[in-house]
Order: sequence, then structure tokens, then C-alpha cells
Amino acid sequence: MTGIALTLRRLNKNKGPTQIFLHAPAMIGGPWLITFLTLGVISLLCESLFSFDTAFLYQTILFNNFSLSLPLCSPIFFIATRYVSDAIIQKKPDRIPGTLITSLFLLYLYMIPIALFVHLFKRETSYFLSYQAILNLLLLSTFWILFSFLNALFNYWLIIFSLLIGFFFNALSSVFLYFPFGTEGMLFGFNLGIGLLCSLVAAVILGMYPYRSNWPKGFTAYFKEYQTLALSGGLVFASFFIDKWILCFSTCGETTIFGLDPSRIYNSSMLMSTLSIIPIMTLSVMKCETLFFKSYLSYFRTFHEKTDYLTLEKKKEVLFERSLEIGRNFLILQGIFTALVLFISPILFEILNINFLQLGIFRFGTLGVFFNALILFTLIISFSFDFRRFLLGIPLAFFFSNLIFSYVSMKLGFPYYGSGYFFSSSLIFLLASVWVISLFKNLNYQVFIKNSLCRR
Amino acid sequence: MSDICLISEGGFPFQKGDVADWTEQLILKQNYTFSLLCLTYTSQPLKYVYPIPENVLEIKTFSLEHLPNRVGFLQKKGPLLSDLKNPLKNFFSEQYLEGFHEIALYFAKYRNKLGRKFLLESKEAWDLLIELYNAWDVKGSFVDFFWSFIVLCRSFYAIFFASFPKSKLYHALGAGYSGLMLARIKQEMNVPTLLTDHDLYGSNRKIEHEIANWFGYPDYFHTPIQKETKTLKDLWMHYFSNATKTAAHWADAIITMHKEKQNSPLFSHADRHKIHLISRGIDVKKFTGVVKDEKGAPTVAFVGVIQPIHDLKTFIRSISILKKQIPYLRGLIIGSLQEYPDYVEECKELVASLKLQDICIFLGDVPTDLFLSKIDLKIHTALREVPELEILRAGAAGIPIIATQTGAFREIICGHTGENPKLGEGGAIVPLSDPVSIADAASRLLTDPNLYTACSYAIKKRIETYYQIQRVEAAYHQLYETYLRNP
Repeated sequence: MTGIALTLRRLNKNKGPTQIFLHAPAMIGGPWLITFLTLGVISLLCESLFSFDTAFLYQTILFNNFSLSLPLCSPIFFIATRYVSDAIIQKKPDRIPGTLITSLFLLYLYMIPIALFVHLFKRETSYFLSYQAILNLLLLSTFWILFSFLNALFNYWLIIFSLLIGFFFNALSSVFLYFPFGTEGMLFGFNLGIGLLCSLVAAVILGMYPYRSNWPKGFTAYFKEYQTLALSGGLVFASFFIDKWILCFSTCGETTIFGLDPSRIYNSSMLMSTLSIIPIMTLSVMKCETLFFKSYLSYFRTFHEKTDYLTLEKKKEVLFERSLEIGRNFLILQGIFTALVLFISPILFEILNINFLQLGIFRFGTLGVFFNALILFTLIISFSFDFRRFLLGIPLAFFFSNLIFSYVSMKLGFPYYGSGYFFSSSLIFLLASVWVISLFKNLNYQVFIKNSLCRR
Repeated sequence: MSDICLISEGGFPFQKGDVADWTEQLILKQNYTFSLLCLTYTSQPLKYVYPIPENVLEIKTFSLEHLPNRVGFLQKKGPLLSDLKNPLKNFFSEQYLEGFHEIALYFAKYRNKLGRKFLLESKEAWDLLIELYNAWDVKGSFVDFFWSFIVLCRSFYAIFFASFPKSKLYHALGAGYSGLMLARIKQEMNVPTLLTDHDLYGSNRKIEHEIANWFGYPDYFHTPIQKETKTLKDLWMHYFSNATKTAAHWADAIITMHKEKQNSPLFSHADRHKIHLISRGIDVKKFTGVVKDEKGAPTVAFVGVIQPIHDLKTFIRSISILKKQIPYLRGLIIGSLQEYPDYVEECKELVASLKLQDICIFLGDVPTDLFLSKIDLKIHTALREVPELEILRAGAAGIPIIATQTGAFREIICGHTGENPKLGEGGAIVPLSDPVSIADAASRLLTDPNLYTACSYAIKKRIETYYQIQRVEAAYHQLYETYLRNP
């Protein structure tokens, strides 16, 4: 009759009702920022420095590789992030090098065939360019996996910030390589830059965790346990690109506009518009970590401090208010900034010598990316609390609504390009806000029952 | 359909132990057919560790950690769960009988629609938990309250989902969940029901909870009870004492092991005429022929599963004291090392820190009978009442016993009040967790041959006279006959 005693002992070992996840802003916000900063900067420079066709190949290869690598790496990216986070909480740092090697091994199993298929099948203008494109896709994929281990490092925000600057300068310098070396030179330079960044991150991780690389215990089981997370991770990033992919088909049904490919106009304009969100988004994501996570930790600490329910409710209220405060501040700051960008966009286009055909799309894009960033904010919050249905539901809804609205806008014609993305992101933002607020109101139920009991 | 269905938590035929041994003997010695309903704490299939007697027709297991994984689309979840609120409240209060009755009716009505998702994981279940938390004004950690409530409710609800073998008579071998199962069967089937209280379930749970050190936060756990305020300890204790009282109420006959139990407050509401006294018994002839091995060092033994409730640490500390008086002492520790590995490790560390590695020998789960000829003295340090079979066996072999004042030990060692002729003491009774008293008593017995011989004779004679297995068999046979013939 030792059952009760055994149950008690098992409960004694319980750390709390759920596993907290501290690194959500960096893990979702980081890749998003790096991707759109790089693509945005490249688009902006190419549009203002060259004729429309000159650097198009380079832009296309990079766009394809970013838009493929991020969603395809996401399952391993999110599972590794979760595993590393748990290993740190459980004080098992010796698992980190093994997890890194295993993750990369799993990644290459499917990314190498994909890279070969995409770039050999497509046959770039030269073999050298094809090899560089394949290498680029693999390097980007490697980088995302390495990125998922940054939460294992102290002061990882400093490293992420350095990487952001690294990517910015890499994008900047690679564009200028066009003058002496052409498209091949640009891509080679970009690859060299990422290669260096990858080596740097790998060296920092392995230097900090100098353990033998053993098979990470239970790592593969995480794919089963967190399959929703893996799937939603892929969807989160795929949903950001789906409108651009859809518009790639625009030439199929339409003639070119003033001799230009509509999808090229669309992609360039959209990627340039994302730059409008980068400064405040960076600040907000970092702010989210400092402000939100203070209350977040305080809330979860109550489980270990064995407080009563009233205290728990109060902490929940503080956390809710703090989240609203961050959201509101972001909304106001970015709202003003977006309005300003919309207002001065003709002047900007004139100064930067950008084709005015892109102005309409740019404006829709600027508005769309504003709501997209707000969606990202709700995803970061729900990622922290492991609201799995939300994490799957919102990216799925965004993916399909972006797909449908973008398709409709494409069919409506050039003047409507970008409106699909804008409508989709604003609609999903509304849905995400209502949903996340209702989840927040029932946070204790979510944390105790849905995140804890249902998964035992 | 079997004649008798035995209901137990774990035990025979899956888990070795005194109650399991007792159950095996009961089945083997009775001329009835049996079925077994074993309530377990695992969903994994269990292995038999006892051979299955021929008169066992059916064995059913049911996990108390398992509720049907039924989504059960139910309209109006809120009102449906609110029907459960008051009965649950009542079960944890003085109206436990009404509460249990209403809960049994509730599950009888909705059983096919209910499941884990609705009862434990729905928003309505959460609201019910919060409402009860506020109503009970539980002091202390909400996290611990949450887990306590979930663990208690899950096992409690599971009772109402368990399917049981068809039988003419149902016999629960303990008062906890087995007893609640018995109460449910009585309400649903109105068949004869017997309850053997092998150990006072409520008091045992109480000690287990004390030892569990309650999540490392003993301060609030022991907060004095204020008016209208409950601590988690109260919640658990109310639950288990009410479970015992409910089982006692619904049982047609209650069998206790010794007189002291009959006066337990847990049985105070039960009709006195249905409480019977049937002590445990052993096949004395098997042990009376044990010849003492006079060679070797004086040997004291601890027998029992190595677990906190058996308090092996006190035994080890007493050996440390005793060794100063009897340097060539040997301490045998016989019992399973598997069930509480952390505690075993702690005990081994204690042995090492007291430099007793050459004296204290961990033998593991070996048959005690093989060592009876080598043991001079048996020491029983348990903090609670445990089955007395090991003591009876040692006593039948003429080994004096030092035991704590728990359960039936005083009756066995010193004799009951009406004993005639007085046989004298068969060892010594000592306070709980008192290594000095144990060492003193052991020293007296091991260094005074006359005292040792007198105690050896007394305990052997007492076991032969009062604790013969044949008496137990006859008593149970009579009870079974009575209730099977006059249901």
C-alpha cells in the first residue's frame, strides 16, 4: 500500500506546474529581424544603386534561400531551443555540444538534397553561381541551428545584436562587391560573411561548453512531445513569406508592367517596407525581455515560493498589465513611425532613386508589416507560456489568410498588390489579440491544467 | 462468478509483503472460489510474484491513476460539474456519508459520459477546484493544494470507473481505496461486504505525510488549525479518515487485528456488533523446530522493507550504541532494497558515517526463515503499525523481540490484559525513534542469559497458544459462511 507515498515522492520532485521558457523573444524575434534586415537592406541598396535587372539574380537567390531555410529549419530550430533551454534548467550543460552536432546532422539529412534540388534543378547562370547558391542555403540553415543555441550563452542579447550588425554589414559589403566581381562575387562575399559568423557562434558555444559530444538523451523524444511546436515554428516563418511566394506566380497570368516582372517589384517593395519596422521592433523585442520577463519570472517564481492563490492572481494581473503596456507602447511608437514613413515615402523614393511604381506596394507593405510585427509580439508572448493551440492556430490562420488574400490581390491587378498582405496581417492581428487576451485572462488554468496536467 | 472477491491496493499476487503473504494463505486455506480486484498505481502490466492458487478464478487490475480518456461531448458542462460540488464538499466534511452516497449516484448516472478531460482538465473542473479552495480557505501553497486535489480526486473518481469481478461476497483488505471500492459495490449491488483493516489506513497515511516532509515546506504544513481554516494536512487527513469511515459504514462486518483498533475513532460511527477481532496467525509448527546456532557473534536483526516508515535509521543508531557494550555484535538488515532507493542510500551513508560497515550487513530481500537460527534478537523500529507476521515467525522460533509501541506489538510481546496464565514478557516495548532505549533493552537481553531464556520461552509459548493459523482460518471460514449463507 505504498501508492500514496510513491505519488507524494513523485510530486516532491515536481519543479512546478510547467516549464518556463525564457528565450522566446530572442528565438522568434531574432531570426525575423536578421532575415528582414538583410533582405531589406539588400533590396534597398540594389534598387537605389543599380538598374532594376542588374542585381536581380543575387536578390532572388538570397530571397529564395532565406525563405526556404527559415521555415525548413524551424522544426529542428525550435526543438533544439526547447531542449537546450530544459538542459540549462536541469543543470545538464554537458548535453549541449552533442545536441548541436545531432541537430546539424539531422538538418543536413534533408537540407543537402533540398539545396541540390533547388539550385541544380534551377540551374543558375553558371556552375560557380549554383555551387555558391547551394552553399548559401546550407550556410544559412547552419546559422539558424547555431542561433537556437544562443540561449545557452550568457549575455546572448549582446551576441544577437552583434549578429544583427554583422548581417547588416555583410549585406552592405556584398552589394558593393558587384562592381569588381559581378553577381558571383556578391554571393561569394555574402557566403564568406555568414561562414565567418557561423564559425564565430560555433566557437563561442563549444568554447563555453567544452564537453564531449554524446548523443543527447531523449532529444528525439522531444520531436514527439513538442510536435506542435515544431510544426508551428515552420508555419510562423512560412506565413511571413507566403505572399511573396504567391506573387512569384503573378507573371503566369499577367503581362509585364512597363517591361518589369511584377513579382520582382512586389518582393523588392515588400522587403524594403520591412525596414520601417526594424528599429522599433529591435528595441521592443529587447524591451520585452527586460520588462515583460521580469514580471514573467516573478509570476513563475510564485510556484517555487509556494504562495497562495491570491498572490498568484495578483502576479498574473501584473504580468497582464505589463504585456499590455509593452504592446501599447509598441503600437503607439510604431504607429507614429509607420505614419511618418507613409507620409514621407515619396520623398524617400526620390532621394534613394527608387522606381515610383513600387510606392503603392511599399505603402501596403509598411502597414502590413506593422500588424505583422504585432502578430509576432503575440506569438512571442504565447511562446513564453507554451500556448500550443495558439502557436499553431495563429500561424496557420496567417499562412492561409495571407495566401488567399495575396492571391485575390494578385488577381485584382497591380494596383492592389500588397493589399492582401495588409488585410491578412490586420485581420490576424485582431484575431490574435482577442485570443491571447482570453488566454491571458485564464492564464492560471492554462498553466496549471493545459500546460501541465494535460501533458502528464 | 466466484464466491468471494478480494479487493486490495497492490499486494497479492503482484507485490511481496506481509499482507500479500496473508492473502495467499487465506486463499489457499479456504474452500471457496476467489476473484481478485487489485487497485494499482500504474497503468503498466504487472507481473505475478506469487503462484496463482487454483481456486482463484479471475484477477482484475485497475489503475487509480487512470481515468477514461473520454472527451464525452457534454452540453452544459458547468451545471453538470456543479452537481458534483456539494457532494465533494460534503465528503471532505462531517457529512462524508451523504457526500459519498451522492457522488456514487452521480457517477452511476453519468459514468458513460464522463472522463479525464471533463473531470480534471476542463475549465469547469478548474473553476470547481478554485471554488473549493476558496470555500475551504486552505492555507499554504496553492501549487501543493492543486497537486493534492488532483491526485486525490483522480484516484477518488477512478474508484467509480473501475469494473469489478462478479462475486457473491466482497472482501476489502484495507480501508483506503479498497474500502471505498467496497462502499461503492455495496451501494450498487447490495451484496455482503467484509472489511479487514490490516493497518489503520488513516493513521498510516498521516505518518506517511509527516515523513514526506510535505514538499520541503513543513512549516505551513504544521500550521495550527484555525477556526474555519484548513491546512493541506487536514485536507489529506480528512480525506483518508472519511474514506475509512465510509468503508466502515458500508461494510457488513469489520475485522480488526487487535483490541486497540476496535476503539479507534475511525470506527466509532460503525455498529459495534459488526466489529470482529481476528488476530493474524502463522503455521507455528514450521518455526518451533528452529535450532539455535550458538556459534558466532551475537546477532540482532531488522526485518522489513527498507523504507522511512520502518525507521531503519533508528536501528542503525541503536547498533552504534550497542556496539560499545557488545563489540562482537552483528546486525543483519533483511528486506527489499528496491522500493525506496533514496532512503536505502541514506541508510548506507549513515552506516558508513557511524563506521558500522563491518557490523551492519544489508542482505536484501532474502527469506527470513533461513536466518532464524542465526538471529538472537529481533528489533522492530517501525513508526506505525505494520503486519506482524515477521514478529510472529521470530517469536515462534523463540527469538525475543524489541518493538516500538505500535499496533498489536504490545499484545504479542507482553500479552493481552485477559491472558491466563500470565506468560511474562517476550522481549521489550520501546518508544518510537529511541535508539538509546533499544540499545539498553538489547544489551540487557544479550548479556543476561536468564532474562533471555525467560523471554524466549514466553514469546514462543504465547505464539503457540494465541496465534495459530488454524484459529484464523476457522474464524474467517465462519464469517464467510455466515455472510454467504445469509446474504
